[in-house]
Amino acid sequence: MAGETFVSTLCRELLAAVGLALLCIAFWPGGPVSVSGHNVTLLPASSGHVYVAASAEPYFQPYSNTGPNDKDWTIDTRITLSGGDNLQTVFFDYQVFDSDMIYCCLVGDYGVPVRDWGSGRTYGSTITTHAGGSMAVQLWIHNIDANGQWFDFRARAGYQ
Amino acid sequence: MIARLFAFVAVISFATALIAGALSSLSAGSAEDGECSSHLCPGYVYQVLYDEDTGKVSAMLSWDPAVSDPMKLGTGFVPHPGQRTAIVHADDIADGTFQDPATDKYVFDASNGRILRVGEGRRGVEEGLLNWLTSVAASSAGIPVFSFTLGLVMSVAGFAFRRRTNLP
Repeated sequence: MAGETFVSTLCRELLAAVGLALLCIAFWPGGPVSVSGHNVTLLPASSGHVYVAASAEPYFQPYSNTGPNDKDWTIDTRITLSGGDNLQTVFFDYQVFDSDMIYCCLVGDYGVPVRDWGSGRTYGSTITTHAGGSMAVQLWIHNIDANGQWFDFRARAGYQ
Repeated sequence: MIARLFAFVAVISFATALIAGALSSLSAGSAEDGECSSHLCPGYVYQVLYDEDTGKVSAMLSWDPAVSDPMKLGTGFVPHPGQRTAIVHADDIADGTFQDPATDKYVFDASNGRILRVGEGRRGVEEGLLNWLTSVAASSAGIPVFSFTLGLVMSVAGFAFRRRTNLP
């Protein structure tokens, strides 16, 4: 283009790169949660690794007693097999609890038995529910394999 | 001739130590990125769920507090009756031992840092150190350490041999 300088070309390329980066961030998995176009206030993600010995079935809570009360929650939880013998047979379940309910506080449940779980494959789902009191997320992993195994987990909660 | 053999082995050992060390440091970099779930990683925190009586570990949570702290957002493991939890910092078990102040029991990392075991007292300490040494020997750091030591021994032996035989 006539009159185009090196600086202007550089600026244009930089702007394009920044725009591309912003697009990538916006559509990156685990990024902002969008529920029917409503604004969702996101909490920090709770992530890490969990080791489950053979035949063990621990419960752990990535979120506990989490407020504010009386909110619609969207909770996305994912588990991936990590390393080890790269093949496991596992039951896992993740549940959402409402501390405000008297008789049964379970308000969301996603569970699946996984046979021959290969390394790198991710399981999980997004649960949308209402909690009158505070909210808690609980994961249960029952490793029925003969070997212990590591898993990567990531939970993300948001409310509106 | 024998002195040359010593020197040759020493040089080969040092070179092996150098190359293996460089390779293990490269692989250590990638381990921090993606393999900290199966190895004891510096800076990581571990929550251990174990049986109160037998000390058998049934599960562990591990995380990098710089990335996410699930213990700030949640409670981690929910122990059944007869089970306990302990928080272990990787830096505290760098020497192979960690004492849980709540139970006065020792938590050890066993071979390749994947499984922690809980023991008690002096016997447990010795067992833990032995496991630690075994894991170090089995790790990628074992080769450069062994090669370097061999090179050092060969250098000293060659030097001693030359002195003894009055070779220049």
